[in-house]
Amino acid sequence: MFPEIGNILLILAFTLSSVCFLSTSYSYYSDTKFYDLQKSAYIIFFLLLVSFLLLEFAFLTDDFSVLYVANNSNPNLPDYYKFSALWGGHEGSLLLFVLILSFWMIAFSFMNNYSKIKDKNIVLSFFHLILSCLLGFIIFSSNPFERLLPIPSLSGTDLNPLLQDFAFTIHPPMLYLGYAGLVVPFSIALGRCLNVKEGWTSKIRNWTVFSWSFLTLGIALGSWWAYYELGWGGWWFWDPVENSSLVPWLLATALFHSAIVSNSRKIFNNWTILLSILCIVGCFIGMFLVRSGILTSVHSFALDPERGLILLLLTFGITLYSFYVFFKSDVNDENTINYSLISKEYFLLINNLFLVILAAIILFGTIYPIFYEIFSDGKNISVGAPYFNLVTVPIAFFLAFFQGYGVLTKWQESPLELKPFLIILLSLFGLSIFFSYLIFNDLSLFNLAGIIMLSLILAGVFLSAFRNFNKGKLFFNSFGMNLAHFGIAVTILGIGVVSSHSDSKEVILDIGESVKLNNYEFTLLEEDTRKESNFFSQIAHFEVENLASGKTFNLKPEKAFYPASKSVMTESAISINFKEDVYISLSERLDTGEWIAKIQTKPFIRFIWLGALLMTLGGVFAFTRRVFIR
Amino acid sequence: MNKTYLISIPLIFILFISGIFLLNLNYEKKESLIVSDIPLFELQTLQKRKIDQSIFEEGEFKLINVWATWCINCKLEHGFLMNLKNQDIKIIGLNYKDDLEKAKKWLIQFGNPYYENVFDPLGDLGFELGVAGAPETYLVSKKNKILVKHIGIMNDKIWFDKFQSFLND
Repeated sequence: MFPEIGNILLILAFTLSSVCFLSTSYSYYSDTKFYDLQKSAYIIFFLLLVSFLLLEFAFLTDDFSVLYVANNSNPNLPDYYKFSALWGGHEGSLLLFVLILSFWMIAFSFMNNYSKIKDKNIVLSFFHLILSCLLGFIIFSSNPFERLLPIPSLSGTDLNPLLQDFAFTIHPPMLYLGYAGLVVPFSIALGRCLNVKEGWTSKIRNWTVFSWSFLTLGIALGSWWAYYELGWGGWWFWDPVENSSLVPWLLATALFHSAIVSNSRKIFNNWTILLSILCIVGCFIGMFLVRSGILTSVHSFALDPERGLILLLLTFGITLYSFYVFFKSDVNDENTINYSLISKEYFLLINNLFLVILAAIILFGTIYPIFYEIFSDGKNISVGAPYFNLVTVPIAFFLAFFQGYGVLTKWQESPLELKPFLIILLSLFGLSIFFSYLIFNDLSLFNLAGIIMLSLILAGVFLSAFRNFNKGKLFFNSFGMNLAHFGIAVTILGIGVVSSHSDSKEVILDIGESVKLNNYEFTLLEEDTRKESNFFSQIAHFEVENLASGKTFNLKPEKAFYPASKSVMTESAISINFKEDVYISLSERLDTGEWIAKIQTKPFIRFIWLGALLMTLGGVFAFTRRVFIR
Repeated sequence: MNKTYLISIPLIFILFISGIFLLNLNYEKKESLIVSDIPLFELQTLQKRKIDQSIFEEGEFKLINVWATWCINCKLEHGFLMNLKNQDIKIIGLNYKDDLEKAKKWLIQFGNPYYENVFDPLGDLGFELGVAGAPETYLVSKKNKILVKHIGIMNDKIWFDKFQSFLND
């Protein structure tokens, strides 16, 4: 009964959303009266929310007559995970996505007042366009309310054990807040193409920064989850799914920088609109890559070529439609200024180009295997870390340079003041090298590259903060930006160090035996087992002694067996430390009673996520300051 | 900046990769046409009788269906398999990484579409065949060659699109 109601509500939301889009389009092209459609946005949100809660209810009450619930839940799963199991599969995660999208729609329409109903309708209609496409896709080919009748399953498969985890419960919602948030600049930009000019540049800038913050947090959570849950101790795999979140992130980064120029200088207008469109196209291409089963990856959803075809058509249709609207528009720069080589405009332009090129290169590397498969008669290759590191690091290097000095430049023309910049740059560089030697007695090329980049960025940040320090308002205006830039430097520091100073060893240990890695001595003390409602596991107790400080601590990695899905999971044990993580993951237990384990040290890895957190905070700060405190 | 360039360059790029995606989506369907032999094996049936590759007799078409009681989608295709049985099509079941008692109970409860069932608790034969999960269905020719491999639920559409043409040859 309840699932059917949920289904009907979805269909109602789809119908209402399509009607909103069509009626606005009709009114626009036939030049007739516009009806106030604000309320329908609220109604759609409400319909989707109830529908979402009904599916949630099916999960919590173990209603296995619903196919999606049967495929993704299990009676023995703790309630907390039953709740989050809703977005553990393809259909439910799409439902969460459209719910979040409708939330952005009402948040946007609540916080932005347009003087004309017509203008507001036009902008909202582009939300409805995306929303109705996705709702149609859900209803016709990925319906989460589909029943498993006449024979309901008794127990349900299980939520994938990899996803029975805290980070997973918040990673998709954050990521979707980011992706769906990019529909806001998309709608404003297409609205601008239809002559809705009211404050469009500042709206694009503010809302992109806001959704970019969530996207950053979502990606960082995904990386953190992969680090401790997949058991290899890696934090970024250049996996197709990760890449397809990185591409919109880079484009969004380019977008709000370009919107800053459009807002302050009234130039780059076409470029800003193009980037807004590309962000959404990037999201759709990513969605296609992840959900069509065309590429294999750890995140893959259930595979169905027909779904892939529909998604491809959606991507295609939205691309053509938005490019058509853009092409027919007459957006021009409202200002003709000449800016010199050393000016904020020029630096931001170059940064924009590099960001877009970086996004294109990453996208190309991700889809190259698809390309190769066709032209080599079915052979498979994978493009891995070597390619991506080779192409991204040099570009990131240039980006860091322009980012570092860029924050110090002024609009139109600024004098070349290298002296203070170079002094700070060199002292930061020197300090970093000094500390690097102090801590690791070593300096690798990768680490050096990281140190140069971070010195460049930090020199800009410190100098800019210092100059504005006594200027009160100006300091707070640029605080969000400086904090986010600082976060990037922190992340780069983490990446540089962890890539060059990590250490790992595969060991076979009997109980009582010890092994050394770097400054640590690992001793396998004993084995144990434990049983939970959804799994049981074997535990190995390790005692780890830090030989430098003489301190000891215990680590208990597990090997868990999930009976419902018959899968084995490695639960790694990590000692978290400011300087470095100590990481143990179990591999196999030999018949002789020995354990094969992988032990690793990961210096500075926390900085990667700390930096992402700072970026998020910076973005949220900038948004709140611009929108609430004027 | 010239708008025509701004639009055409990314548009060409996007159209190009969409084209590649489209080609690839169609391509994978062809790839499932593989011809290989039945691997040699020695396992037990659900009734604990010994069984090996000789169960595949030459001279007739048969299906291998990979199933398990933990697999929900297997339940979805079960009705379709019963229909096939009623059309006198021989289906050899491969009970994959499953529990013997549960599997027996399932067949009694829902009906048995299988001519014979190979019990493969450790997935040995599954490994030889290249099984990725359940359900999967293979078409085996009169000369004991595997002609078609289908991953996922079987239904009328897939039967007509992928399997039927071979049976008429």
